[in-house]
Amino acid sequence: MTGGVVQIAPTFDEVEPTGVPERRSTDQRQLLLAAMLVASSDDAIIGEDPQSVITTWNPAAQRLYGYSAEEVVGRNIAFLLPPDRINELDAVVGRVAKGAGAQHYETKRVHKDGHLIEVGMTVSPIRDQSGAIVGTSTIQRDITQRKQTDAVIVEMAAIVDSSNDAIIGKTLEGVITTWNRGAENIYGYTADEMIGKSISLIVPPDRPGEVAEIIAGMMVADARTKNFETQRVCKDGRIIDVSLTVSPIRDSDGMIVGASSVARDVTEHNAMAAALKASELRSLLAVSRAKDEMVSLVSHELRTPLASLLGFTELLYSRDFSEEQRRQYLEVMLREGRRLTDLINDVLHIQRLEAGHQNLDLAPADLNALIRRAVTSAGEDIQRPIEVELPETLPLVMVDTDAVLQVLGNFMSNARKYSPDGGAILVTSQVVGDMVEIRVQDHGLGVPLAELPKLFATFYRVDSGDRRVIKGTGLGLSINRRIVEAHGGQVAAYSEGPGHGSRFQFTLPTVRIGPEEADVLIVEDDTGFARLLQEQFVARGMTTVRTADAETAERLLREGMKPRAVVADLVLPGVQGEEFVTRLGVDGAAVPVLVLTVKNLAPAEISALEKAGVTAVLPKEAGASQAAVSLITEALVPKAKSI
Amino acid sequence: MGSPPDNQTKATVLIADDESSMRLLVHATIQSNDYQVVEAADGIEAWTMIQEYKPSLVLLDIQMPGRNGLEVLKLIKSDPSLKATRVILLTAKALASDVEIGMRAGADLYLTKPFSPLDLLTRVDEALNRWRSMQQPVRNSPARLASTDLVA
Repeated sequence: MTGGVVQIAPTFDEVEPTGVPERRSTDQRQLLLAAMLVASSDDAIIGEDPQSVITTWNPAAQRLYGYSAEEVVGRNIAFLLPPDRINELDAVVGRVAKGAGAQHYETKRVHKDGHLIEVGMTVSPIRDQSGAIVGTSTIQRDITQRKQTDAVIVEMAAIVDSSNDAIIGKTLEGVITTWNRGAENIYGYTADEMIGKSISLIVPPDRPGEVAEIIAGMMVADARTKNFETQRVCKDGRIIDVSLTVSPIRDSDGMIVGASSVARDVTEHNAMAAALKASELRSLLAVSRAKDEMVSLVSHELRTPLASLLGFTELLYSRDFSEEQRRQYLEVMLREGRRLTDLINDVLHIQRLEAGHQNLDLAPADLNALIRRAVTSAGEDIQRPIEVELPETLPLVMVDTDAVLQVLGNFMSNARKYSPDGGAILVTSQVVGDMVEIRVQDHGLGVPLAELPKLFATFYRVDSGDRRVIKGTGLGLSINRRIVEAHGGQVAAYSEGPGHGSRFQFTLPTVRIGPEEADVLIVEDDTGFARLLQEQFVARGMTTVRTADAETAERLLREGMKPRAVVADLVLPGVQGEEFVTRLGVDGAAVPVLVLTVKNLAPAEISALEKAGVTAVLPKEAGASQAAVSLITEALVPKAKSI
Repeated sequence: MGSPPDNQTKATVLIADDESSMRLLVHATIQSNDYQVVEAADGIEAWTMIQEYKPSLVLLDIQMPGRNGLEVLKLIKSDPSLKATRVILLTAKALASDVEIGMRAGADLYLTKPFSPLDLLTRVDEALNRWRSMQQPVRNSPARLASTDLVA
């Protein structure tokens, strides 16, 4: 190539149409060919003079930078350089000028539209025939894409290397080509140990064909990525569970040339999942076993009384018996029928308690009053008297009075039942922390030590000769336990052993009712009706406290409660309503007192109540609660009073 | 009862049940001049009485205090002197598996509560007939019983 401006395109155009190469000299032909090569090159070829002024600019250069030859020939090349690389030019040209030969390097240049392009270039000196450097030629190629690809590859390699999962590349023959750090950690082999080895090194011996199978599966036309769980063997011989993803590796033509696998160690995860499943299963089985046991127990307990009822019925129906026998059989039938009823009631009760359907109607209650009532209900038994030793003041407890009366009744009747030879039964109560503890001590058969923990189990009955005559469903203590626990208390049983009697005890939570806590004090043992009243007062913005007996109400008033009105029933357990309201009047409570009763009172009785301070007496009938609430509201609102 | 009373083979039926109402019902059902009826109220008493009376038939409850009916049945089966004793289990345990266990233990019959007294009566008659048929060689000669056993 000669110096000066080489106007490639025009030369080429001039040559082509005339098209008689034979007439040209060899030199001329060489020159022409060179010019054609430059013109048709895919790489940008740019010629510069020693002052870096552009002399040549081929079509590829135009494609690379967006400028045409006309725009740039004659201009200094510097306009292509990003500002931060402006010194590059002098350095490179300087080296070339000093005879350093062709310089290869990668750099950045500015496109006509302003964006940076990554270029790879070779800068060579242009010499004249004497060998003097008369310029430089640069061959340039856009390597932006390659650079980006390189960056992606580097990043991907870093990701692969830093992954906790084992990422392994292998040929279709199963020869390992890649082994990342995750693989080293999981399997214990280093990359050096494994690259070039067969993947079968980490396949357990009992899965010999697995790798071939995986690869074969992957080769199927539409197979892309396979996910599955299998096992692998580590360097130390451990067998681990792995979750494996296998994908094909394709070459640039799309041919599958190998496989990559990503494996995660799921041994621990699997073990945890298995343990979880086992424990879930165990608790499910326990629940179902308990249910089966209950059904089996109930069916057994039902069969015996049923056998009596059906059996005696059939006998009496088919044969003649003496009057005495007939009477005896009928008595048994009656007793067994009642036993069946008790059993069904108890089972239903337990079922309700268990399902949490038993709504406890909690109200403050004077426990000593409840105990005295339970003792009264238990009735007289000269051989087995029930004695009480109760402290004078016991904090109020928050209980469902009916349920607690049942608990007390069950404990007391058990104490009597298991004292066949008689003996006093002692009931005591005491405060223990923020609970009240009630004890029922007897002098009866006692309980063998080993049986104590089982006593409160459903249908459990102590099995000994001296007890077999004692009837029971085996449900009473179980019901007691459930009721007490539903209140937040606990049951316990103690015995010094057979012949030494037993002690059953339970706790109930205490409650403190402040004086300011109620507008209306309701004294009503009918929980349903009491709730109706409470709801209506609450709807009118008034607060209420309900007690199921007069004793508790009197305790609350003694302790400083100042209700603005009192609604009382007359028929109450223990102290009767008449006595309660009369005492209220004597105490000079200047609040409206309303009496609601089912009693058909004579006018004289009503006037006696009014004289005692009762504001109004209402019959307990449909609509009574609304009437009561309206009356109280009127009495409490001064404006309404004046009407 | 089918056959006339035979003083030498006067049958004894033992009722073993811890429920007095059950003993009363069974007793009322099978009461007869053909055999005597005795009662036991638990498993231990039952075994004592069985050894004493060598009953022809035991009507045996399973769930009893002391010793349960299956244990008593095993004792009967392991005692050669009780070879002729028939056993009917009369129990509230009504699962198929319970029946299988009872029959495997060697009971002649497994009846579940509630039961029909008239049906029980028929079953008791059948059991006593089987017992009587086993009595024949015994009454003639105890020695021949052994040889008959060897042939059988």
